[in-house]
Amino acid sequence: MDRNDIEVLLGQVALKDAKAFSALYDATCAKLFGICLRVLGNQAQAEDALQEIYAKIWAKADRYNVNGLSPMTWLITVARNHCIDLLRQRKQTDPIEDHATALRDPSPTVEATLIAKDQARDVAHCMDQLPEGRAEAVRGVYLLGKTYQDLADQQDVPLNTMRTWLRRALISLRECLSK
Amino acid sequence: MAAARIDQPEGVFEQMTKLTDDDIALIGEYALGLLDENEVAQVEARMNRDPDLRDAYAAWCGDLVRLTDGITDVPPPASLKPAVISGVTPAVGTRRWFGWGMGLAAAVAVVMVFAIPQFSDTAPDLTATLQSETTPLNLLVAYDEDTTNLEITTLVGYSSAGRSLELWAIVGDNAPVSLGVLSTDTSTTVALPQSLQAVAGSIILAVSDEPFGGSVTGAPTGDVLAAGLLTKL
Repeated sequence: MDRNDIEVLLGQVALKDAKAFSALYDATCAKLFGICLRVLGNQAQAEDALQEIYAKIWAKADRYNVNGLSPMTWLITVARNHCIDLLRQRKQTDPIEDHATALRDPSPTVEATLIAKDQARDVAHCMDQLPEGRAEAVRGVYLLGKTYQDLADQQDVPLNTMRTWLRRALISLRECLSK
Repeated sequence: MAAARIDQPEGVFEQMTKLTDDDIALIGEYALGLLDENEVAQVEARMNRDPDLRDAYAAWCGDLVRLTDGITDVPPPASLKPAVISGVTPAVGTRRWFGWGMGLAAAVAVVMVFAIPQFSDTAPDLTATLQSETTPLNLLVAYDEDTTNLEITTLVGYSSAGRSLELWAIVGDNAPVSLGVLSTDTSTTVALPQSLQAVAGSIILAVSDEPFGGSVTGAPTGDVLAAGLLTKL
């Protein structure tokens, strides 16, 4: 199943074609479920999340290309954003869970090792060019839903400093990726 | 700074020239989910007006998803798919195979209020959705008046050891007519008997659980797993 196949299926799903939805699920569920498991770190929550993610895909398929995203990029972005929302809700409503999450990722170093093999070459190459700790921060935000406050606490700097660092990292990253 | 619009791979940023570093960082923060509610609203309002910002967003999303490339694909449990499918498609009541008239009249009443999923290829003349509440079974049936064939698509299959699923056509108070045992393939094509072609629009399709190979009595003997009215799109 290549990009065009997924695009055709998404177009059909936008027209509420249940057959296409079934095929889209078969083609993409392992990828999206892998992401849910990684981000949420919990089988039951990942299963619930996957179900909610496909409900969103069904509901929003007609708007997927409004922002010019490719089909897989859109699907992964929907999945990732949903999981991050769940993680952040979980932190707000359940401080014990927050503690558990903190234990799961005790330090940037361990976190970096966990995620280190997760990136494609170009992005990886450009991430490597960033000052120490910044790439981990970007990955931590994307894959673990870290907020500026989390990052500031973790690196023991004021929030505004953290934000300035990360924004500079993003600008460098974009410049590198555009080369 | 790449301004040329050649065939660049996805995620490569185009049209950088118009954007400030501030905006590049801002859209990156937006894609990462680092902005507060007010900032998000402002960015989205600007994105609605400015195609360059939308391009920047698409580029960030395309690049950031690469961070998931190394995450191992994990097939979810098979039991999840029926929940996902039934979460978006309407359910059809399942009932025991008792009293044809009463039970099926109710089934039809239930069926008719539901939206019928659309098909995108050659539009069928009539369709039915058959979904079971007690099993994962979920079927789409399309009838083509020209070929007089029923195409049965298995969205979610169901089988139990040593048993078969048999498809039946029921018109009014007449005895069910067997349309054969459903194959285990994703798609089955069945010719609609000539006697039923003229009344295709009032056929109720039902799937029953039968001994392996189908009912030997010529009439359904097991539970009805799903039923639906063949109806116009």
